[in-house]
This record gives sequence, C-alpha cells and structure tokens, in this order.
Amino acid sequence: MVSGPVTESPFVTPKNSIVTPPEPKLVLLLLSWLIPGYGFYRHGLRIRGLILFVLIESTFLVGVMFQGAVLVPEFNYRAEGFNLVAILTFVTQMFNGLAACLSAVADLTGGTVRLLPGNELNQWSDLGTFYLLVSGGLNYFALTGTYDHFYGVKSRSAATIAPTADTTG
Amino acid sequence: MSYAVGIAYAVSMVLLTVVLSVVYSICMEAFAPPGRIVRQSLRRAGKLAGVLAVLAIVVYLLSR
Repeated sequence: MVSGPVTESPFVTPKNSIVTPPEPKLVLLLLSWLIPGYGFYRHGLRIRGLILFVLIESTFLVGVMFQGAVLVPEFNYRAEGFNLVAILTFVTQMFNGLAACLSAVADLTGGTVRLLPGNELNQWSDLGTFYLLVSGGLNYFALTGTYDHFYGVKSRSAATIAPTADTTG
Repeated sequence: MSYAVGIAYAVSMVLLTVVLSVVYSICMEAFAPPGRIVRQSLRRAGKLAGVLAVLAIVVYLLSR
C-alpha cells in the first residue's frame, strides 16, 4: 500500500500533490485565459503549464510573423459585412486572451495603434490568421482542462483517489 | 515562388496537427506520465492527419 506520494520523475505529479493556489477560482480562470498554461502552473503542474504556454504562444507568434491579425467582425446581422465565419473566427481567436487582445488593438483603433505586426492585404495573412485561430482553440482546451482537472468532475474523482494517510515529505 | 504558399500550407498542416495533438493530450490527461501523453499524442495526430488527408483529396477532386 502506498503511504505517500510516489513521484517517479520530475515530470510526473501525483494527483495528491496538487497545490491549491490562493487566488479564487474565477480569478485563476481569468488569468488562465490571459496567460495560457497559468492554471496548470499554479496548481503544481509547472512543466506542463510551461509547455502549454510555449506551444500556444509560439503558434500565435508564427501567425503574427505571417502578418495575421485578429479582426473585429461586423456583429449586426443586418449589415452588409455580416459574416458568420468571421464571427466564429474572432470568438475562437479571442480564447487566447492577452495575445489576441493585443492583436485586436490595431483593428479597434483603425490602424492608429499597432502593437503587433499584421497586414490583412499580405498574401500570407490568411495563413497567419489561421495560426491565431488555432492558438485560440488550443487555449480553449487548456482552459477547459484547467477547470475539469482542478475544479470540476475530474478534480472530485482525484480527491476520492488521493490517500488519506500523511502525504507530507 | 509560386510553390512557396502551397508548401507553407502543407508544412503548417503537419506542424499544427502535432501541436494540437500534444496540447490536447496534456489538457485531457493532466496527470498522465510523459510516455502515455506521447503515445496518445501520436495516436491523435495520426487520426487527425488521416482525416485532413482525406479532406485534401476530396477538395482536390472537387476542384478539378
């Protein structure tokens, strides 16, 4: 019978070694939206949190290098420029939180303030925008994983599995 | 130069498939050992790549 946490390597974190961060749940989820992998990092899965951050933001950066940008769509369904695909693209891109907000500043200010490169007319911009879309989708998975593993159903099943014996050390 | 865009898209599909499968595997099984995550990632990447390949062929045939 296992009397305490058994860690085979620094890359494996037993479920009973979860760290409870001081932030409230909503604050942590908000920060996880802004910074990919933050939730995993704060709950003790530091290496996986860093891997998530690097992969998601690298994908975003490649998209920016391809001159992709987050474009705010027309939400009024009666307007001529209304496009459902553009709205879905925008929503998915915005799951990447802080990075997407920085990219959207240029479109929101009419090009006056440009914090990140992005040129809608560039031949590579569609590919770049797709990378931004994928980075947003990836952070959606990270967010749902953070909630499920640390606050949702999977966290409750982890609590029942965790041994009640002394786990310090 | 005319082939560059096509090559970029093809490489992007492969790259994004790998990244997507790794991130998804980490998020779905946060406490799994690295070996399991790698195996699951490869499995998911293979499935996704297969679906994308079929889609690419269908699109090519429809566009002829």
